[in-house]
Amino acid sequence: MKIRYIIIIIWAILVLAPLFLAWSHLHSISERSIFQVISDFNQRFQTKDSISYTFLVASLSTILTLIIGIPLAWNLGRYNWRYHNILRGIFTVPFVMPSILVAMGFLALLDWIDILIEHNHSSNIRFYSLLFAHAWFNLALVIRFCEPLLSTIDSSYEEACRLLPRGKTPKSRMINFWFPLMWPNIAASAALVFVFSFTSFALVKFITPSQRNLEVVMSNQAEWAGLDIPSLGRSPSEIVLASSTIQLITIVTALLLSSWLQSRSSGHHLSTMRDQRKPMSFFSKRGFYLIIMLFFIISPMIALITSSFTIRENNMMVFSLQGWEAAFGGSHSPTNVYQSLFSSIGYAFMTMLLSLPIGYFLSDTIFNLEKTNSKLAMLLDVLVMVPLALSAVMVGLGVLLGLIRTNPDLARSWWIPLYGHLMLTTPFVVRVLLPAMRNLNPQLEEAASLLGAGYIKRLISIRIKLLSPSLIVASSLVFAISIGEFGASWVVLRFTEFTTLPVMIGDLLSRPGYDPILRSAANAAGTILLLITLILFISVERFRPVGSGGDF
Amino acid sequence: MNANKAIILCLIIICTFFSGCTEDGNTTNENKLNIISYDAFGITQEMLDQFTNETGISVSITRAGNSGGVVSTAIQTKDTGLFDLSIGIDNSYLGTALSAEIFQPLETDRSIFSSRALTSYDGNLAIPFDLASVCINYDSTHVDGENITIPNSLWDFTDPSWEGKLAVQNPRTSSTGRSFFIATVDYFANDEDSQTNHEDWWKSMRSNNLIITDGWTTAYETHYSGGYGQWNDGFIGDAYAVVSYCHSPGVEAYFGGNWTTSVALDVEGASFPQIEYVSFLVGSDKSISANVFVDWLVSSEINSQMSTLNWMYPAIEGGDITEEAGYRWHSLVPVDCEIGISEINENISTWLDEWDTAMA
Repeated sequence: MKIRYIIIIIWAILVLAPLFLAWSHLHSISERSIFQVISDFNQRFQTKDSISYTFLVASLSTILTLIIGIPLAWNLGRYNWRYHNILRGIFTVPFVMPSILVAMGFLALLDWIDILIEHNHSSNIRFYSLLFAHAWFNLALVIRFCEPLLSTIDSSYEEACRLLPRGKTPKSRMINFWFPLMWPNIAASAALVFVFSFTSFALVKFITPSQRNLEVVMSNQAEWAGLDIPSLGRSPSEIVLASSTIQLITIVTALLLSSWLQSRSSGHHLSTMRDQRKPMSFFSKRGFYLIIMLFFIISPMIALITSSFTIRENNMMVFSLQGWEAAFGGSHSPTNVYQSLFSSIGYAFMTMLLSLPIGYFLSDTIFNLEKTNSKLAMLLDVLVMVPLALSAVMVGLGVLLGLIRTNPDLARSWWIPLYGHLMLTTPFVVRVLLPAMRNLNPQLEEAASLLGAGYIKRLISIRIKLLSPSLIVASSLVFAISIGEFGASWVVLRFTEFTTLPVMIGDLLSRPGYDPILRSAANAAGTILLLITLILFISVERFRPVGSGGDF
Repeated sequence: MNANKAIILCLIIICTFFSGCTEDGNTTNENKLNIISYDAFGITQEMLDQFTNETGISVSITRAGNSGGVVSTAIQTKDTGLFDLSIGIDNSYLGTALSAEIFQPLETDRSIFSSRALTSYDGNLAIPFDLASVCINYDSTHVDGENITIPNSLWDFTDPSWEGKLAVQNPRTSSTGRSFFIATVDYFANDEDSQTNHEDWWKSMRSNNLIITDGWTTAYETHYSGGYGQWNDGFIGDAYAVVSYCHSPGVEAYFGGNWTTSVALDVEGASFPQIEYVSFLVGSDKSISANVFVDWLVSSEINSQMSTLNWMYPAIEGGDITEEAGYRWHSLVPVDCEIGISEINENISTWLDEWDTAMA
């Protein structure tokens, strides 16, 4: 059996086994059917309005992200700015930021806004803040899906369009030329933005604490789900089962749609694969717009950084380095920043070593299947993306059940957390490598094969060499996601002794904040994480291949 | 940096990481205790290191959310030997834990504890290590007797002047919320009015726009106007009263230079005596180490520091919270409700289901 099929089978088991274990266990405990539980959702406080709120937030967040993201992708794709790579790095780094830090940044921002306009943190302002936080977080998806294609469309096509009756005005060219060209990419990014907004947890929990989406509902019920004890009742298991089913069906549908749209996107032939961007100065209307967007992106980051330098003292906020001292000294947490960062970097490197080959083989298989069996290719593509749709509650329960049934001691193994990291990063490796593979010239490999080069020789001399820029980008993405990963780590890491930086931050934030140093120390640790990720993203931007096909 | 240097750097980092894993593996199992606790457990790493130096027993603490998370994790991992001790299961969950048969007996001398610590349970399966009362705190800036009158009974909170001004925690997701909910069951069952019960009060509070949060942090930090949350990002401050601990104003004063506007509400029977336990879990064979650790935790040296380590009262006889910076002066020792763990265990599922429907 070829190695790629073994990897597909292993991947399917890793993705589906915990889900199956958790689902069957919850199903065996539940007394009511999923439909009965769902029909009862609005009759109970724990679940009231959660379904409508989830769909509302996900839909509006998607629309807002597109409204903000498309013009930004246009300006980055069609124009070449000074420090372009740095700009692109800054605009896309929010996507890999731990959502708990994003929530803290936006809450700090709300306080700044409160000084300017008295709003008293009304529920409406909080709701809009949540939508903007989702847009901030997911902006990278729109940029990554649209900007590469925009940057390689030959300007002569648009010039030709100007001569036609339906292309005389910018608006008509947008409707008749650019939109038909770009809509698969826009829609594919919208589908993914919807997925991430639908499964959002920390942002909803912290920014709109009086509302619950399905992910928050499941998290609230998590501790009692799966326990068959009369005094606990069965409703937690039933609620988690019903919520996760709704979530899975919705997300898989969105992912299927996204995958189908991406495969359509790869079929157009107007891309020149050369940089077609025009130089543009910051001293222009577009430059002004870009600076405003830059301000939008860096505001929560600055708010977070400044919060790390302030502390409550004698009932007023004063400048202090105590938070930084506590973070580096470890006086208020089980580990200090050095140890946590070391663990984070160790896990990130190991995740990279595993995720890249697995992601490569999965991409290669999807790429080959696209030529012979497009439906199967689409299914495999969705299977690759499914981990992003799974609730941490279901994964955590499944992993726990699996370990307890097989070998409980494994739960304490240092490598078990790699599972969570692998599940979350491999889909992005595929999203980077797959479009790059689609853009490879197949004749090169055919020629090498005719000249007698074997598979390994072709792989090393042609494939990897041509894909190296994409591999570097994928590596940085894996590293950045892994180093900032909190949710999955917490689910499967909590039994081990390795505290990563995000887990250290979570630990500091989970304690009652009477002691003023706790919050500052968490912000200081968050600042370290932010700066590392930012530097990493900016430094690898120059390796990103021009027009990598319109994907992540 | 060229590719070779990058590869060498990667290898160095990975090898160093692996060497750390190997070092850790040298600790023998018998001398290592794996403990499950709630997030807020405040024993410091320095103290644990000191314990290890004195006894040769190393300690690894896994955090599992709140008290409920500790119970559920202990039940889910029953008989696996993953954890040796649980820390933080309180008397509102103790009945559930006892019925799940997850504890083994400990040999701790129970004569060292205060009678208050042994009120709910005095057996050898769960050893108390700290305690406190859960009650309503109010902000004296707003609840000053003029603009809003200080409540004399829980019914006073149904007055229109309290509309949207009380924040409580969801009893299904928060241990303080659960404790206060149980207190209301007992309070309304034993008050002078036999025509109404806790359900009526909660329904009235629902009509009066009661603020219900999923956890203590959101209620106290985000909504409560009288706590430290006013200095935090994202503060709303729309609640003039909140469910917390009767000594929370004392902790506020301790960090606020003997100054706080927060006051614990003194209404007889409207508070819950929360007692937290340490227990030896079924599946562990480290009885000697477990007993040594528990004896250390309830020793006078460690337990007497609970008020500044874990922000709770010590469980040992004669233990009290510190007087420093107005901590004790601002704290209230109320007359708590009296409800047994067996009654809680038998009825809690039904009560919570009814509450869930009533509050929808």
